[in-house]
Amino acid sequence: MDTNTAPTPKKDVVLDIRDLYVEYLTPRGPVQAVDGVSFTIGRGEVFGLAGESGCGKSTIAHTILRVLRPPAVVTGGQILYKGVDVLELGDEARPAVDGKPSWSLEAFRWAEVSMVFQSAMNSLNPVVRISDQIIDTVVKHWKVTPKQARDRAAELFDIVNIDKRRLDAYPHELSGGMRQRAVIAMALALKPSLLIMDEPTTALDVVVQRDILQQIEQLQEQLGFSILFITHDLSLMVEFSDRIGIMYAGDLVEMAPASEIFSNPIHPYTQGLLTSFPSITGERRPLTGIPGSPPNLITPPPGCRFHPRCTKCQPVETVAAPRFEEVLPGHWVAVHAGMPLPTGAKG
Amino acid sequence: MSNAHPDHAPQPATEPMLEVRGLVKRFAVGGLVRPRHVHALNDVSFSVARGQVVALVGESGSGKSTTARVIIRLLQPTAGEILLDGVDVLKSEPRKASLDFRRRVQMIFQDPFSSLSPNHSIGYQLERPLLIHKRASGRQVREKVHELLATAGLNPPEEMAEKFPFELSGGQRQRVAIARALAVEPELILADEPISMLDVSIRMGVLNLMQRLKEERGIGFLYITHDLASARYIGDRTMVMYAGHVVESGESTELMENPKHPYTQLLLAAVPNPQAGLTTKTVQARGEVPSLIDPPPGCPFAPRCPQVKDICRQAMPTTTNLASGHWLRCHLYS
Amino acid sequence: MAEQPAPTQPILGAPQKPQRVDWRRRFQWASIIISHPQARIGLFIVVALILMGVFAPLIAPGDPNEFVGMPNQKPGDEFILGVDPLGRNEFALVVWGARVSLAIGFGTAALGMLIATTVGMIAGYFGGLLDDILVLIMNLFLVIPGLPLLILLAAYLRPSTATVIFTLAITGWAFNARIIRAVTLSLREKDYVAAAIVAGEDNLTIIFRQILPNMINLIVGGFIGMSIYGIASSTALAFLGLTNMEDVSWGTNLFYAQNGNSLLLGAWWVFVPSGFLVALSALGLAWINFGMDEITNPRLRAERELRKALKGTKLERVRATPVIRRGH
Repeated sequence: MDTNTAPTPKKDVVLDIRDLYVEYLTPRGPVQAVDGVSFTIGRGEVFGLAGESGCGKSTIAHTILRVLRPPAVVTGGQILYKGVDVLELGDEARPAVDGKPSWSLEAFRWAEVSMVFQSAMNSLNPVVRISDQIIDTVVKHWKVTPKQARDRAAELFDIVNIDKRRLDAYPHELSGGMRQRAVIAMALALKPSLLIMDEPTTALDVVVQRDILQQIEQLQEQLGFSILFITHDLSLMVEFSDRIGIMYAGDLVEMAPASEIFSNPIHPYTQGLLTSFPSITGERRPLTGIPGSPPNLITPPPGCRFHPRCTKCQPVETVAAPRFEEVLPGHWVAVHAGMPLPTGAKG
Repeated sequence: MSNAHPDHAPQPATEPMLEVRGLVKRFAVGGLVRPRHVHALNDVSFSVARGQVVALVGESGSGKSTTARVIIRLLQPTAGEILLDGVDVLKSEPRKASLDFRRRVQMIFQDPFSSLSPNHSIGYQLERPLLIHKRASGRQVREKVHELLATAGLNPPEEMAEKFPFELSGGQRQRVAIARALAVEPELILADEPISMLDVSIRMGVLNLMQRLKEERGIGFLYITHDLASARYIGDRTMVMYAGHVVESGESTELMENPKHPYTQLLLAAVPNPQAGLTTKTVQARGEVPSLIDPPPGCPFAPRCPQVKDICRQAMPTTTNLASGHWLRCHLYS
Repeated sequence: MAEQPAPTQPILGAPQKPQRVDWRRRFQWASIIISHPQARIGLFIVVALILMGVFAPLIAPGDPNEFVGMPNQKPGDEFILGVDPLGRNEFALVVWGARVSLAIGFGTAALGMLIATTVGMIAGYFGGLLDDILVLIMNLFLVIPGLPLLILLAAYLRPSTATVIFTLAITGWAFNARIIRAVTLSLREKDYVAAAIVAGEDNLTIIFRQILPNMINLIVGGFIGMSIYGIASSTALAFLGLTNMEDVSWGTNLFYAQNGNSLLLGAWWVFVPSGFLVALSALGLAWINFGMDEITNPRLRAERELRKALKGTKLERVRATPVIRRGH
């Protein structure tokens, strides 16, 4: 994977999320699941979003496709896909403005942005053959004949390396790895420009995992789509992403090229996270992880949400919310006053 | 303390604390007329020395969890021996595990959300083993419970004892599970994927606790996982299982630097390892884990092995001892 | 990842003094019944009927069997619900009838659930040959047609309240036993049961302390269901003349209504009130059970709470994540 240190030039930006806020309404009060997150994904780029449970990464993924159901509500920000704000899209297509296309949600979902979910069994209907599931989608969107759609399905199976003879199988007849590949085939059916993958290989064995991710890499080079890759496994992400964003409790705390995150983590949470992954090579050093547990998002800690667990920052900043700034070229960190930064960094 | 395969190595001076020999476990499935069988465990043999952490690594379907459940006697093996300090417990207590066995061998489960009874307080759940095994009585019980909670890093113990599982996080619940296992002062703890369902930043804390218990109290661990990296971190020895067979075993770092069995090599190549450079390695992975139902003879890895020979499909390889406690079962070496 | 953030304080407030057992959770069913609107009404109805039976001597003093006037008089100033074909005060009959009818209903439920729980849990927990035998017996009782068996048993045994309860329990226990067995089977596989075995607990303790507490909701629900069965079936039996005809129950009232050709005579006050109360008690009990459904299926409760939280907003039916901008 190329490392990409220069900021993405404007016209090559496929996804531009600006200041996104998402809440879940619960009887006990609103949960601040996403708290002002901004990042961009360029054409053909693999952007990894890492974090633990409750950090908001899955919420962002689902919000891009507008598939979060109430009680989730988007309360602020913009999601600009190829310049069009997804949050403004409705059930009907609106007239194109400024030469920018304006889709209906239905035309947008799957044809422009599609998603691979964590468990393949969540995306596949167990009583419908795989071929039918693909054909239904293709016929609906592309207005082609079922025969042509079936050809497309066969093409997709070739792309993801499943024997075409398994086209008419039911999901339970395929092994775990093949099912996940079938799901990827379905996600790529309509040639989307952005593929979101939410923990796509967590339920799979490590060998199958590597096989599938290699496949996706090849596909990406062939077809040129961008990927938003979401997982909690940082070591996996460092290998497969171009740039990585680290999330904690609804905030983006660090964002940098993959190699940078690994070799030069600046935010104390990222540093703590990296001490949670033992390695199979190299010297055996004692690792500590991070004490404590993620906060309750109904009443999150004031100011920097990580401060109750942070061992680096003294005095602890608890009033002003941290600002997300570019402290080194291409390397963004959520900083607050008094935070230790490496030399050369703008604080 | 050598931990070589009992059939081939010179007998160690002291007996290993736990030794399993030729464990076989088959489950009957379907078919009234001609039942088929899942061959979950096949001729599994290994030993765990006192105060040693042995990591058992395998993917899903490898039989690692079944091995744990057989050793802890939640399942009855189809054949084989389980020796504690040289005594085969399957012969000395055939029907039901004795209280003494239950004191000496304990277990921690994978899912912190279902391994604690939702209806009882933490204190109650820690009291039970103390009372059953008569480790304390009366006033002492409460004190011991607090002691256990403190050892497991759950503070303040008095408050923690009154809480219910739903009030604790996954990491805290797993610590309670460890405290419960400690209550009877066991000699061996089987840990079945204890951290795989925990948040990443919390895992090391739990592993370090286990490490500390091994060092301070001489408790042996059989650490079951699919994650090679954590196996190396905490395991003195690592054993690799595939489709119900133990295929390779050796000292952890040595095994991972010099894997000999093709499956071990495949596993190690597949694990994400950013430290080894950021180039993604291409791995020659063909096929997937075979079905365990009435498998064909020969080595189970034969269908996928890049170095397969004819004999591999005919007979299961015997154990070969390489240097210093590193042994494997592979026709390339036998 | 399965990890969830630990609340900074317990959701329902900290327990006041050291407790071993999570009583809040054990008696979840009680709190659901009180909060669910239908269940509340159902509870009110059932309690009202029970009180009516308990306080019958105060509400309709005297012996309901007493001859008080000309048979089949219409309701009027002297008799609120008129007079039945045997010359008895219909109002008193209806009020006093609650006693026997409800007693048989709850008695059936108690005995039936006792058998069902015992058999179901033993079969589910121990498995093997014992399970096979018990399942065979269960299926036998399920397959045998209920009403004919009831009639047969009632015809052979000396008719009395106890006989009726016994008969109904025998024919009705198998249904719940199956459910309890199924739930026991699944609870037995839970990790905390395995942990209890590993800790050295004996089987009896595990059954009563680990498995049974998780089934209380089911048992209460089954009890209520069997109560409906008991009340309705005993009424049917009485109508056919197969219970002790000297008892005053809604069923016997209907028997005498039929005997006295009340339908032909248009004497609605003889059969409508008793029949109505049978239906009403069944309704009340069923509505309580609707509330109980929310425990077995927590999603129902979550959906109800969600609707409450979203009340007033326009978010009820949307196909895409709603966007409601606020200042930040």
